[in-house]
Amino acid sequence: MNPELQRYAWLELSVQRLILLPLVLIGLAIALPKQATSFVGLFGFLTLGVMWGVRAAFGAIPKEVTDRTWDWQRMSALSPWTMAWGKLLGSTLAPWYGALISLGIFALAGLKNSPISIGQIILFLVGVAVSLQAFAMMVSLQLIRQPGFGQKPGNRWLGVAVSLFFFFALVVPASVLLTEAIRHFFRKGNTLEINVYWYQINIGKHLINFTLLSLYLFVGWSLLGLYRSMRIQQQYTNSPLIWLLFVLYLLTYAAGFAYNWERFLFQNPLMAPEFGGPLQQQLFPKFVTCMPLAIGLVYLTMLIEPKDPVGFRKLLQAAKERRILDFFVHIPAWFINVALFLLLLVLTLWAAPQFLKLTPQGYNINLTIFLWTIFFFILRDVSLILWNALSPSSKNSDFISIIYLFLLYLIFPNILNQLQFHDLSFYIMPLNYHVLSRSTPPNFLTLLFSAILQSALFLALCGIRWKQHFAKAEAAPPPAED
Amino acid sequence: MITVEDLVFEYPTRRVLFGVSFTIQEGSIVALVGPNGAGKTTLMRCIAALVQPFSGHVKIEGIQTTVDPHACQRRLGYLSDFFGLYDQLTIRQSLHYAARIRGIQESDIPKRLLQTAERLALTDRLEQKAGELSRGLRQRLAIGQAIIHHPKVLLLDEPASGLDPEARKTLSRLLIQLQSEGMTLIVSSHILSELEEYSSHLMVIRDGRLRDFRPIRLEGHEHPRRLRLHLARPFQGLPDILAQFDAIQDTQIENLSAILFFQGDLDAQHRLLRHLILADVPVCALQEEKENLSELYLGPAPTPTRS
Repeated sequence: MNPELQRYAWLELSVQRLILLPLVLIGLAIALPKQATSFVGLFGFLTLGVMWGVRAAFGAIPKEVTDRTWDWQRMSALSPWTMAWGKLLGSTLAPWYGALISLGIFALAGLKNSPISIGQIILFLVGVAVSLQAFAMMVSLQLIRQPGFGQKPGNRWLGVAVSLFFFFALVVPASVLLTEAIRHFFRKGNTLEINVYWYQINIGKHLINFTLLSLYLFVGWSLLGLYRSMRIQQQYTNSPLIWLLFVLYLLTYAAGFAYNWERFLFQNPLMAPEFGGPLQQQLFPKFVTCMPLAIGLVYLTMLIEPKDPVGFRKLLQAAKERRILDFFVHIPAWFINVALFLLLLVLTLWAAPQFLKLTPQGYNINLTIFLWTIFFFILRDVSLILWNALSPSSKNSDFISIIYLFLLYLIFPNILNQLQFHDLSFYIMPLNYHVLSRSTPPNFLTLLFSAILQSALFLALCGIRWKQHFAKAEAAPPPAED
Repeated sequence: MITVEDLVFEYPTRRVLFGVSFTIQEGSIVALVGPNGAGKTTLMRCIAALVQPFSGHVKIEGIQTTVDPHACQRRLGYLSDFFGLYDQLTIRQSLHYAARIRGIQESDIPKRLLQTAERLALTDRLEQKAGELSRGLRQRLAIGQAIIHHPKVLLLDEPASGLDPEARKTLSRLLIQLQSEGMTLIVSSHILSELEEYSSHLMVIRDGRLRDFRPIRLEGHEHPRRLRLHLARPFQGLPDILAQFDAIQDTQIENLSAILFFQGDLDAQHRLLRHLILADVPVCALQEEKENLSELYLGPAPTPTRS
C-alpha cells in the first residue's frame, strides 16, 4: 500500500465516519419519497465527492505546510508520482467513501427514460471529481510556492473557488451540449442526435462518448500537472515542453469547434469577409476560436504561478552565461503563454480578412488595430501583476492584483460612465456599450495608443521595482566586527 | 562528506548567504552558531536539498543536491527548528510511516522500528499518540523519524530548544552515540554550553558569511593543549622558567594564573610540574582546560579555515 494512503487511512477513516456516512446517506434515501432517491445519490456525490473532495485535495498540502510536516515529507524516498497519487487519493479518502455510497444509491435508484445510461453518468461524475481534485491539488502546490500562502486556513477555500471556476469553464460548455442533446431527445422521443461539429466531423451522434473521451483526456492532463507540480516540490526541474504541449493540445482541441460558427461568418453577407486565400479562410476561424482560451491561460498562469524575482534573476543569469538548458527550465509558464498569444495574434492577422464588420452597426473594424489593442491591454495587466509581485511586501500580491484589475475593468469605467465621460471610459475598458452603440465608429487608433500608453506606464513601474529589488538583493551585509 | 562551494542564496527581498564555502569531514559534529537571521537555517535547508541556491553547489558524498536531490536526501536526516508530528498517530504508526516513506523494505520495518524506539527510549510508549507526548518525548520521536533510515548525515536545527536539562543530557548522549556510529552531524543551537559537550568543530555564520570554522576538540599530539597554571601568590621569574621548556609554544601570564599552550604528552606535563615545584614556583594546580565555545564564538574570530 502507498505509505501516504496508509497514513491518511489511519488519520481520516475513523470508525465514526465509517458508520455515520452510510447511515445518513442510506437513511435519507429511504426516508425521502422514491422519486427523490436518485437525486439523493446525485446530490450526495456532488456534495461529498466534488465539493468536499476538492476542498480536501486543495487543503492537504497547505495543511502539511502549516503543521510543519511538509519539509520532512519532501525529503522522502517516494517518487513524485507515488507521492502525488498517494496524497490525492489519501486526502480524499473520506469524501470518496461517502461519494461511492452516493453513487451506489444513484445506480440502484436508476433513471427513467434517460437517453444516457447510468454507467455513462457515473463515468462522467467520477471523471469530473477526479479531474477537479487533481487540478485543485496541483493549484495548491503552485500556490504554496508563493510567499505567505497556506498560513491561513481560509486560503483553502480559494482552491474550491478556483476549481469551481475551472469546473464551470470546462464542464458548462459540455453540459450545454448535453442539455441540448437531451432536450432534442425528449422532443423527438427516440434519439440523442444533434449537429455538433468538431473538425467537420459530426460528433452529435456520439456526443456522450466524445464528452467522456474529452473529460478523461483532461483527467490525464490534470494528473500529469499534479505529478509535475510534485516534482518541483521535491526539487526536481521540469522541462517547459510538457506545458507547451498541453497548451497546444488545448488550442487544437478548441479549434475543432470553430466549424460550428465559421459557416455563419462565411455565409453572412453583412460581415462580408474577404480572405487572402483558401488556407487563410480555413485557418482564420480556428485562430479566432483559440484566442479567448489563449488569453484565459495567460491570466490563469499569471495568477497561480509564483512570480519570484529570484527565479527571474536565475533566468537572466542563465541567459547571460549561455546555459541553454537552465534557461529553458526557468522560463515561467505565463511567459510561454504570452509568447504563444503573440504568435497566435500574428497568425490571425496573417489569415484575417481585410475588413470585418463586427459591431451591431456594421461598421468596418481594422483587425490589425483591434488585435494589437487586445495585446497591449494584456501586456498592461501582465505588467500590473508583475509590479505587484515585485513589491517589497509581496504577500497576497495576486489578490491585490485582482482588486486592481477589478477596479480597472469594472469600477473606474462605470464611474466615468456615470459622469458621462463615455469616451474616457472606453479607453480604459473598450467593451463600452455607450461608445460601441453609436452610429459613428469610435477611434480605434486612439484606443490602441491608449493601450500602449497604459502598458508602457506599468512596464516602467515594473522596471523601477525591478531595479529596487536588484539593488536590495545584491546589497552586501555590513562587514563583521572581526 | 559535505562540500559547500561558493553558496549564494536569495529570498525574493534579500540575499541571505554570500559565497559560503567549506568541507565537513565524515564523523564530525559541527556546531553551527550565529546570531538570529545570520543564515543558519537557510544553510541547513540548502544542504538538505529543500531549497535551490541562487548559485554555488552543495555536494553530499560527491553528489550535487541540484543534480540529484533524491540521492542526497537518502543520505540525509533533517530535523527543522519547528518540526511537526501527526498528533493523531501513535509512536509506532509514526515510526512505521517514517520508515516506509524513507524507502525501508516492509520486511525490515518491525526490526528497524524497535531499534529506533529502543535507541530513543520510546519502547514502552509505542502505542501512545504523538499529541499526548511531552516536548522532550516529541523531540525524541522527531529525531527517531529523522534517523530511522540510518542516514550518513544528520542536520539538527535548534534541537535542544524548549528541553529540560534532563532531556538535553539525553540528547547530548544520543548525538555522541550517533557520531560514534559514523554519522556526521551539523547541529545549530544558541545554547553554546550544550554544543560544547559533543561538538568536534565550530562553524560561525554572521550576516550570511562564514566567519569561522575550526576544530574545537583536538585529539592527538599534533595540536597544543591548553594548560592552566594556578599560583598561590604572584611569582616574578615565571616567564623565564617557562621559556626553558620547548613544549610550551605560547603563554598568557596573569597575576595568579597562566595559560600555557603545551605541545606534549602527560609525561612531559609531569616533568613540567616537577620542574616548577623544584624551582620553588608556588604552584597550586596545573590542569588541562578545554576551549570554551562561548569564548571562541564571542571572542575575535580568526580567518576562516577549511577543515
